Amino acid sequence: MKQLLHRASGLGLILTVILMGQQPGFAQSVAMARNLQEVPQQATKAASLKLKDVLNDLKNLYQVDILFELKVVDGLTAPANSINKSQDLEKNLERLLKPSGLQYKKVNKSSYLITETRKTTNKAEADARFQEGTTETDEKALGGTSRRGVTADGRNLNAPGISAAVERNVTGTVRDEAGASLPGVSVVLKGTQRGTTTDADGKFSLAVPDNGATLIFSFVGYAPQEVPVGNQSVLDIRMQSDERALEELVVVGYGTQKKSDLTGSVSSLRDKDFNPGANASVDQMMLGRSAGVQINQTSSEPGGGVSIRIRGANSLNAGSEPLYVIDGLPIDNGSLLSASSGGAGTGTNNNPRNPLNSINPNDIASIEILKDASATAIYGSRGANGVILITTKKGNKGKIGVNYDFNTGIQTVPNKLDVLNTSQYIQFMNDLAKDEGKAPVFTAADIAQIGAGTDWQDQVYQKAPLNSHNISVSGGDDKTTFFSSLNYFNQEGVVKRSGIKKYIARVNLERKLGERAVIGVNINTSLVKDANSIDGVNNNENAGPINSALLYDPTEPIFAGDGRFSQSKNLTINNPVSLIEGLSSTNATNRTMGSIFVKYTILPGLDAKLNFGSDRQTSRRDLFNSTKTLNGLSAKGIANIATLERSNVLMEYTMNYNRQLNEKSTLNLLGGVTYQYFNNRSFSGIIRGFPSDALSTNNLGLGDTNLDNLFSGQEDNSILSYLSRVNYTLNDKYLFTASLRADGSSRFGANNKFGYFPSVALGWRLSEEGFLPSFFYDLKLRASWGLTGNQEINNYASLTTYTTGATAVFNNAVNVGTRPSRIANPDLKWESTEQTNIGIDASILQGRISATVDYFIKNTRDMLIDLPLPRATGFNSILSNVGKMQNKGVEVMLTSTNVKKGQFSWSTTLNFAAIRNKITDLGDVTNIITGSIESIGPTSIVTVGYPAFSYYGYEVTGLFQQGDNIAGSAQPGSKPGYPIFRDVNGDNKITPLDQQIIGNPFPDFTFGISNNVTYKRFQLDFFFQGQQGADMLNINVLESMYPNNARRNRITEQVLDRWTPQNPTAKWPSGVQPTAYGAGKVTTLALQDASYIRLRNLSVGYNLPVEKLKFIQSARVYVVGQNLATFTNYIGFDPEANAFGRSNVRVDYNGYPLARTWMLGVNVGF
Amino acid sequence: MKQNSLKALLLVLLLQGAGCESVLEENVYSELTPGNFLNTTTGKQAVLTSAYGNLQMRGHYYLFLSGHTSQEVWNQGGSIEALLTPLTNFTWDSNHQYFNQAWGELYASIRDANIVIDNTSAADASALDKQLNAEARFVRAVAYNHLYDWFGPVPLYLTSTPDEFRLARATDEEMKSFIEKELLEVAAILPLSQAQYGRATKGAAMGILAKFYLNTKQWQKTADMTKQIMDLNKYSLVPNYKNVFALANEGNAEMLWVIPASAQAGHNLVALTFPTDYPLPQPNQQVFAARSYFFDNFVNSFGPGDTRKNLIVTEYTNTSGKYTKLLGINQSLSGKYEFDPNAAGAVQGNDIPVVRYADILLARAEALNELNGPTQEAIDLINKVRTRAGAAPLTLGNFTKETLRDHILQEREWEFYTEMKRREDLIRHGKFISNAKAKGKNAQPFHVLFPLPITELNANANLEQNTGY
Repeated sequence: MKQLLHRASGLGLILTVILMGQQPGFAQSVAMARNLQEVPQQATKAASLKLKDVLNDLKNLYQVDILFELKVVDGLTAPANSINKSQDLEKNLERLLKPSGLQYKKVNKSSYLITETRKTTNKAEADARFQEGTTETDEKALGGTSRRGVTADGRNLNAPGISAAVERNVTGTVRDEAGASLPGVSVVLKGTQRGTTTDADGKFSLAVPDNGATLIFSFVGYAPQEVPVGNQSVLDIRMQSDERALEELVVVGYGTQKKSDLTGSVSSLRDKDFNPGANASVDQMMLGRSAGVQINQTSSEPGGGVSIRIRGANSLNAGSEPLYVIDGLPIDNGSLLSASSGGAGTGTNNNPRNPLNSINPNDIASIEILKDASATAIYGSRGANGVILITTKKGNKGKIGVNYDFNTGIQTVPNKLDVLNTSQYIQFMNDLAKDEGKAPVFTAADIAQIGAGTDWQDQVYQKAPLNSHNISVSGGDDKTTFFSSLNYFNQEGVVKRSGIKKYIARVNLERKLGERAVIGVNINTSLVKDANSIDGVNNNENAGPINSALLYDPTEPIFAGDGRFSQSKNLTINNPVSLIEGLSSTNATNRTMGSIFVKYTILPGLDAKLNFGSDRQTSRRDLFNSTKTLNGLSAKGIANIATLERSNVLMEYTMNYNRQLNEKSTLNLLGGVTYQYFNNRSFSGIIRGFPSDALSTNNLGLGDTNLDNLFSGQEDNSILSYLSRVNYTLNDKYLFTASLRADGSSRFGANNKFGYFPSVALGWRLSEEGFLPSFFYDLKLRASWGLTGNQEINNYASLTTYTTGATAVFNNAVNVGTRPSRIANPDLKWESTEQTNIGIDASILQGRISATVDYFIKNTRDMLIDLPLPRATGFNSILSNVGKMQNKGVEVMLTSTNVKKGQFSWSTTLNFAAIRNKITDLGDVTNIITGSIESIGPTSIVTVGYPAFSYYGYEVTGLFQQGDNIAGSAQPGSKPGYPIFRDVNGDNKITPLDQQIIGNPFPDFTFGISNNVTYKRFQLDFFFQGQQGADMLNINVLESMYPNNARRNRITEQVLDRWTPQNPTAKWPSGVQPTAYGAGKVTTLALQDASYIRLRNLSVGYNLPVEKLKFIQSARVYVVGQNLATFTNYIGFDPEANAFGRSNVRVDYNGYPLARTWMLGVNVGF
Repeated sequence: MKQNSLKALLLVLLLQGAGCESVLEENVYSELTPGNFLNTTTGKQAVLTSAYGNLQMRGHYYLFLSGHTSQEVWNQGGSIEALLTPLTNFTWDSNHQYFNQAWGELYASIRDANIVIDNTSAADASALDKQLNAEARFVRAVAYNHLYDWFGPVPLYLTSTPDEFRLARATDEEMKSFIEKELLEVAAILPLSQAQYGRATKGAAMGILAKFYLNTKQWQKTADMTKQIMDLNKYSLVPNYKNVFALANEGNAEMLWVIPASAQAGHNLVALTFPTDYPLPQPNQQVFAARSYFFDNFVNSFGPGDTRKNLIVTEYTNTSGKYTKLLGINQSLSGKYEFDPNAAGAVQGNDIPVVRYADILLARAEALNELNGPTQEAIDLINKVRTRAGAAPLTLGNFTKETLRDHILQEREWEFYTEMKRREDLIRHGKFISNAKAKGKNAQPFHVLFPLPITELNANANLEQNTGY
C-alpha cells in the first residue's frame, strides 16, 4: 500500500510529544528501525538524502507539521547538510523545495503543506490515482478522523462506479475558516472512487453525474464535509477545523500528550462537554460530566461553596479537594471568607465562597481531570485527591477574531419546603395543646384577627435575574499571538439580598524571540463582589433567613403597628424579613493570578522552560448586624470587618527532551524543580454599640470601644519539589510511562520533611496489532500504579505553639490567657495514597461507539487523623499518621453517535461511577465519633469496615401504641406516640451504647447522561445527572421533629402524619412534649434517601444564517434551562448540600434553595 | 560561546534545584513558641490566666447540673430544653453535652495549671514563681474537686508532659487525699488578699477545702476549717441579703470564692430564666426562649419576713401590658441576679458565688450538729444567717439532731437557691434520689454521679464508666 499523504507532525510550542509520520504494518516499522541503524553508513556513502527524510528532520527541529503527498516527494533527494539551523524554517523549505519544483504553503500556525509548483493539478492524473484505489490517507496522521470521513464513507473499492449517467463538470474553491484557500483537499464523489485534490489556490474541478451527486471534502485537521451538489456548478466550500483532531492532544502534568499515547486515566473536557449557559464558575461547567468526579455544590447560593471528590473521599482530616492547575500554575484553592465566622451576632457559615469564582468560565479551552496515579504522581504530595488542569484559550495566527456572548435569565425557587400554612398551623397548635391537656393556643377571636398570616418563605425568596456579558478578542501574526477577554457576570440569588457580581479580565500573550525562544504571559485579574446568604449551622437568634423562614410562626405579621419589624414574643428567632433587611454580609475579593514563562530550545528536541507564577488575592468582608435584628438590637448594632490575603509565588524550571527513535517510537524525558511559597494574612475586627445603624461598617470608631474584639494572624508554608518523568512509545503499540516526584513540605515534622512519589504505567494499543478483528476501531489496555500524597493539613501542625487561651475575669475586667495550641508531633509525615488502575479504551463501528472503562483501588495509609486523645490530657486530639482507608471503584464513559443522517445527528454520552469507601485500619482507636452540630451532638462515626463518616445514631423501630407495655420497655418514661429506639445491646435501657451506624453518606453510584441532537441549524442538548443510594442526615427534619419551642412551625408531612390515638400507623411521633422523647438524638427518622435524578441542563440553540454577511462570522441564539426537574423522595432543597462545607462529614441544614433557571443568550463572532 | 554558557546555565539550574531544604523551615508568626515564652513571668502568667479562665465555668453546664437534677427548678422552652429535660427527668446519658463540656473545660484548666506548675517548681524559684505555683496548684485542686463532685474519682493528670496519655481513674482515697493535701498546702502559701479580685487567696483555698470536708462528711475537719476561716476575720455577712449579689457590690466581704463574670465574659443565666415577653430594663439586654421556674411550694415555704423571698419574681406585666401571676402556676422566677445594665445581649456580668461566708457558717453549724447534736453555737451560726435575711431566729430547744439536720438543709435551700448548691446538699443528706422519685422521676442510686463522657471512654481504654450507666 502506498501513502498519498504523509504526515510529519510535530506539535507546536508548548507541546512536548513528537509524532512521526508512519507507514502501517509492523514489518515496515522494523525495517525502518534497521534503516536508522544504517544511517551513519549511508551518510558517508551518499552525498544526498531522501527529501522526505530531510523534511522529517525539519519537522523535528522546528516542531511543526509538514504535510505532503508521498508521491510528490517520491524519488526526490536533497543535498546532505542542507538544513541551515541558523535560518528559519521557511527559508530552509524554500531552498530545499525550489530545485525539485515544489513549493510550500503555511496552512496554520504550525502546519506546512508541500505541493507541486504547477498551477493546476492534472485532473486526469489525479483521477487516475484515485481509481487505482490508492487514496487511502494515513489514518494515524488524521488522528482517526479519516475513519469517520472520506475513507469510511467514500471509498468502497467494490462499489460500482457511476455508470452512463449524464455528467457535468463542477468547479469550486475550498477555504479554511479564516477564508484562506486550502490546497491539497481531497474531493471525492460519494459512493465512487472518483476524486481529485484542490490546487495551490484551493480550486478543484470534477465531473459528476447529473443526478443528485454528493461530494466529500476531506483534509488533515479538518472535519470532512459532505456537500450535495444539486444543480450548482460552482461550489464554495468552508472547511471547519476538526474538534476531534484537536481533542487528540491532552494536557497532562507539565506537558501535553497525544490521547492515544496516554497510559493514565484522564478525563478531558472540551467546549462541547461543558454545561451550557451562564456558569458562575469552572466547577459548574463540568458538574456531572466526568465519571468518578463528584461535584457537590455545598451551597446552592450564587458563588457558593463547592466540594469536589475525584474517586471518592480520600482523607479523613486532611483536605479531600483536588489540586487545580491553571495554565501550569497550581493555584491556591484554600478557603476564602465565608458569610460569617460567628462572633457578630450571626451563626457560623461553613461554606466559604468558591475560590474558582475568580476564573472566567468562557476563557476555558479545556479541562483535564487527572485521576489515576500515573497521571497525578507528577504532582506528588498534592496529587492524592486528583488534579484538575485548566487550560485557557490562546490566540491563533491570522485574522483577529472577536466573540461576544450575552445571556440573561431568571431564577426561581421551584419547590419551597413544605411547612404548615397559617390555617394548618393554627389547627395544629390547638390540636397539640389539646393533646397536652392545655387550653387552645388560638381562640376564635385570635383566628379572625390573624387572617391569612404570612408565608415567610415567600417573604425571603424572590425571582432573581442574572445576566452576563463576555467579549473576547484573539489573533496573532507570525511572531505573536494573543487572547484577551472581559467578563461581567451578575447573578442575584433566589434568597433576597444574596448574589454575586464578577468582573474578570484576561490576557494571554505569546511571542517568539528569534527561532529558539518563546516568551509567554498569562494574566487573569478579577473583582468578585458577593452578597452572602448568612444561614449557617446555628439556630435561634443566630439563624439566617432561610432557617427562620422555615420555623417562624405563620400567624405573625411582618410589621408591628409602629412600622417596625414585629418580633414574636413566643419565639427567639428573628422575623425572617428583619434578617433580610437588617443583616448584611458582603465580600469583595480582588484576585490576580498569572505567570510568565520563557521557553528555550537548546537542541532540537531539548527544551528548557522557566516559569514564574503568582496567585494573589485580597478579600474583605463587611458584616453589619443592625438594630432591626434581635442580636443587633441588644448589642446596638454589630459591625465586623474581616480581611484575608492569600498569596503564593511559584518558581519552576523544567527541561523536556523528545527523541523520535524511529517512525513509530518516541522517547520523552522530563525533569524539573519547582518551588512554591504560600502566605496568608488575616484580620478581623468586631465592634458593638453604635449610636445609629446609618453608617454600617463605614466607621467602626463610632462603636463602643469597650465592646470590641480584634484578631489577626499570619501563616506561611512552602513546597520544594524535584520531578522527573519518562514516556516511551514503542512501535505505537507499547506505551510506558514512569514518574518520580520528591516533595518537601514545610508542614511536616522535622524528621519527615521530604516524601517520594513514584508511578509506573503501561499501555498496549491492541488495535495496532494485526490479529484484532477490524470490528475494533480502537482498543487500548492501560495499567498503572503509583503513590501520591496529601499535605492539606493546617500549617504548624507538627509544632507546639501557644495561642489565645481561655479568658479570665479579674477585677471585673477581661484577661486573655494563653494556651498550648496542640501537642507537637515531630514525626508527622505524608499521608500516602497508593493507587492501582486498570483501564480499557475501546471504540467500535468506526468510532461511532466508544467506551472508556477504568477500575481502580486507592489505598490511603498513614492517614492524617486528628487522633482522639482523652480530653483529660487537655487536648482533644493529636494529628497523627494512623490508619488506612480504601476507595475502589469502576468508572465508565460511553459515547455513542446514535444517528447521523444528513443534517440530523443525535449522540449520547453517559458517565457512570460506582465507588466504595471503607476504613480498613484505625490503629489503636476503635472509632472516632464526630460531626457535632448545634445541640444535636455528633452525627458521624469513623470505624473499621465501614465508609468514613457513616451516619451514627439511634434506629427508630416504630412508635409506642396505646396498650404497649411501656413501663417494662427500655424507655419506661415514654407515652404512646413516642418513638421506640432499638435497644441494640439488649440491656433494656436506651444509652449511647445503643447508637449504631444508620446510613452511608456515599452514593452507590453516580451518573450523568447527556444527549446532543442537531438538525440543520438547530442544536438541542439535555443533560441528566444524579446519584443513587446515598443517605443524608437532614437537620431541618430533626429540628422540626424536636422544635426548640412549641410555637415554631413544622414540616407539613410530620404534622399531617403524626401519631394520635386516631392515627396509630403514623410515621412521625405525636409531637407531644418532644424533648421527652429523644431530642438531641440523631435518629433514622431524620435520615433520608438522597438519591435523585435531575434534569440539570436543557439547551436549544439556533445558528443564524449569517454566511452572507461580511462582518459577522457566526451568530447563535440559545435558550438554556438549568435544574428544570428533580426526581427524588428527599425532603429538603438539595440532597447535595452540606452545612459543613467541604468536609467529608455531611449534613443538610438550612441549605440554600436550588434555583431553577431559564436563560436566553446570543453569541456573535466577528 | 554565549550560547554554550547559556545551555550550561540551564542545565546547572536543573541539577541544582531552585533552593535548598532550609526553605522548608516553618516561620511561626501569630502564635508563640514555648521555648522563650515559658521562661518569662508574663508567659507563665498568661498560661495561668488561661487556667483561671477555664476554671471560671460560665457555661450552661455549671448553672444547670445542680438546679435541674435537684428539682430546684424546672424548665421550658428554648433549644436547651433538649439538654435540660433529661437532667430534670433523670434520663441523662453519657452523650450529654454538659458532661463533655464540664470534663473538657476543667481538664483544660488542669492542663494550663500543670504547665505553670512544671515551669515554676524549681528549688530556687523566685518568690513570684512560688506564688504562681501556688495559684496554679489551687486552680488544679479546685478543678479536680469539681470533677470529683460530678464524676467521682477521675484520672489525676499532674504533669504537662505525661508519659502516658491514657490514665486510669485514681482511687477514691487518692482523689480525696490529693484535693485535701493540695488545698492545705497552698492555703499556707497564698496571700490573704490579691490585688486582682478573682485570683486565689488563702481564704478561697480554705473555703473550698471546708466545703470539700463538708460534702465528704468529714465533720471534725469541717468544723475546724470553718473555724479557721472565721478566725481570719476577713469575711463577714453583708448586712442586706440583696446586696450580696448586687452588681454594684461585687467583691464584698462575704465572698470567699466566686465565678467572676463581666458583661464581656459572662453567662446567660438571666437570659435563660426570664420569658421573652418580660419587660427588660434596657434594650441592650436580651433573653432566650428558655425559662427556668421555681415550684410554688418552694416559694411559699419562706417564713414571714424572710427577705430572701423578695428576690423571687412571682408576677409581672408583660411588654404587651398583660399581667401574669407566676406564683400559683409553678412559674416563679429567680431574680437573684439582676439585669446587668452593661449586658451585651444575653451575656451578663453577675458574679456567681461559689463559697460565701453564709455557707461557711451553715457548714460549721451542720458539722457541729453532726458531731455533737444541736448546740447553741450551731443555732447561733444559723441565726446569723437568718437574722440578716429578716427571718425569725431559731431556738435551740426546738431541735433534735435530726430535725436540725433537716432544718439546715431547708435553710440552705432558702439561702442558696440559684447558687448551684442544691444537688450537693441533697446528696450529702441522702435525699437526692428520694427527692427526684417524689417528683415522679425514674431516679436510681447510681444517679448521684454523672456518667463519664462517652467520647472520653472511647479515647481512653483504661477508663471505666460509673456503675449504672
